[in-house]
Amino acid sequence: MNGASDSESETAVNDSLWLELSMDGRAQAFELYADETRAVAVGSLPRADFRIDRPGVAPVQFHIEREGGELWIVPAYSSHELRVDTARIAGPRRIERRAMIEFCGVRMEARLLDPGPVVTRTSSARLSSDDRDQPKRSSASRVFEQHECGLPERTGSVVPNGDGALPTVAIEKLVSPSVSIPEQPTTHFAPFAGSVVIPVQRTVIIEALRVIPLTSDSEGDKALPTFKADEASVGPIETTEHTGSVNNALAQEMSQVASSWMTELQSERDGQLVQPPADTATTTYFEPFRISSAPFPVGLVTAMQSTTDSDAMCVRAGELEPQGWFEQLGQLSKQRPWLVWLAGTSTMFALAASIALLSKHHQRRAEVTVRHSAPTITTALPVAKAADRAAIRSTEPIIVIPAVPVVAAGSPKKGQARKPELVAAVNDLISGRYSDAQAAYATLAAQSPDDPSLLALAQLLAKKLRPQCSSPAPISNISCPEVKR
Amino acid sequence: MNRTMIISAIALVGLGDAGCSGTTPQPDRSRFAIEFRVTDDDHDALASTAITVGKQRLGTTGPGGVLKSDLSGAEGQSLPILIECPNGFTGPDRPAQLRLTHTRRVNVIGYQPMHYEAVCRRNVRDIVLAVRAQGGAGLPLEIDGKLAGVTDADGIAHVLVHADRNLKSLTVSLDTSARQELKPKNPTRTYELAGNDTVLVFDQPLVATHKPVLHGGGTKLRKHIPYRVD
Repeated sequence: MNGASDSESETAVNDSLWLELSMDGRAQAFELYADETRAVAVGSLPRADFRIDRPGVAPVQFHIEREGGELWIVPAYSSHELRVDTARIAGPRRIERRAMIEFCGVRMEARLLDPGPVVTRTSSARLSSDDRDQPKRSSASRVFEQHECGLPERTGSVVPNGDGALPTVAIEKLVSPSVSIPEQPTTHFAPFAGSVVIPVQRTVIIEALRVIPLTSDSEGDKALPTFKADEASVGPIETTEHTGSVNNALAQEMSQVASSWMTELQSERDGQLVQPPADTATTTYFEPFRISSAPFPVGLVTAMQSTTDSDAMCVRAGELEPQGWFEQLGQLSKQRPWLVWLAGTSTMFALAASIALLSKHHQRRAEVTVRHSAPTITTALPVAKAADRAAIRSTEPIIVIPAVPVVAAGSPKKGQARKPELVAAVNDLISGRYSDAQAAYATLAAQSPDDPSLLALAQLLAKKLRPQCSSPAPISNISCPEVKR
Repeated sequence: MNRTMIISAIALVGLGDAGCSGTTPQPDRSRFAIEFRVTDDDHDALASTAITVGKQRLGTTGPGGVLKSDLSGAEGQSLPILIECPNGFTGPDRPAQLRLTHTRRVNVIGYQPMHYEAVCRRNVRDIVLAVRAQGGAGLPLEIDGKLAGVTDADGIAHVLVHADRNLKSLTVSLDTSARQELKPKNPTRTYELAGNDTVLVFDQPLVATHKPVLHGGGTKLRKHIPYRVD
């Protein structure tokens, strides 16, 4: 049982995996080799394996790579906008048979297909067991963290795989550029495939490598090889066997170039603009991303390849993440300051003109209101006679209060005559004995005709005592006097 | 003989018709006798009140406040009546409607006249203020802030005020500023008026308080310290 499962797992590990990415009715299948040397990059980059040309999508949003018999999705730039099966991920995540990937408003499906047709592999390089035991990390992290690379320390050997397959170059160990290369002037290569498309492990920057034929005109240890960049060699794999060697000086130069690449990559990670090295057009170097002591394919990068890499790396860090309108405006102001200045000036002019028009319109409305209201005021006050004006002015109710001599006011004079009848009349009035009060006031009014108040009070009391006013329901047409206290 | 009988029969018929028409005279149904009576709000007769019915001015009331006239029209016809009160009086706000109707008593032959009564209200009303301020002799009496009288030795005062009928309220106060010992100070009362003649009673007793006696020439009052008597 265990043997069967082991064989199955071994088969799964050894066979290629087919990944299908589908989005909006578009599906594309990718073969991921058993040697884990290929990754599927997804993004807006024109050379991305699965290109998504939509605003907001990063040049490389993520990539999918193989680790053993499993597929892992690795977000680029630690993007926080990537969701797998509705779960937001910030690091590598294993993909099951099917996964729904969402980012930047894009929804795509990744599906692990059944084992497909057998494809002739161009290389049989595999990771060593030590490498498999390492914790899972993204290729980018490997790039940024493991920058020790260099030429093989000792002679490697290329072993033909037979069946017309390409040979495998076994290099056990790489050395750091900073480490001095020991006295081993010559790196000897066994018979080597002339034109090999080396399937390196893809990263977010390097898409593919192209290798020029490595030819040598001599077999001696100290002989310098002759490199020829043959563009026509890209294509069918040539099985011509060659042997060659690289001397120490060339290896050191290659190490320096690789080191410079690593420095630039580090700068790119820090958000700086990375320019391709000036010597990439003329210098060949090793692919620096494969850091392993395991056998790995050796290739030399052509100048054209380096240009491609620089295109991939010439991406500002600001472009890797979605930008706000303010940042975009700032970027635009740097690129085209005259356009931004023109737009800003136009906006200010338009705003000032709008404010002026609004204020003028408001003022005009006020003037119109005043014009319209003026005749109304004029007609509301018709021409009146002098007497009428006086009557109009006296809007308050008329009240006539008898004038009282000022000398009368003040402290009571001594010896002033008292009137007990008047006191009695007032007492009757206050007590509610109106008939007695009326009689008393009538008597007093007769005695003092110069006091109209007494007579008026007597008359009012007489009116109040009338049957029409004394009845519970007085006649409505009759005005009955009231007594208020 | 026959001729004599025919003539006598015709004569009898003619006499009969003449007798019937003479006992029951038909009144003129297009004529309506009307009697106007105008009084004031005291129910007293008001003369010199002009009355207009429709577009026809009938005349003015006499000393008894009565105006008799005849109107021509149809039974059930409505006519507007305009009452123009004399100066100092105000008539109805809206013109009234007069409906022409014939009425008569059972035992009286002919129609009886129509009666219409109108009231003109006085524009100025009489307000008598009776003040009794016990202990407040010789205090100025103010009405709406104006000096209207002075209380006598018994603190009694009477004031007659002629006010417009639209006056809503009246404020009466006694000015005690000249006599600080009287309490309360400047008693005031406001009366709400309803448009009729009114008798206002202002009964406000006043108490004279003695000035505090200061001992020892100090400015502070001696503190009262209670002590036990037993």
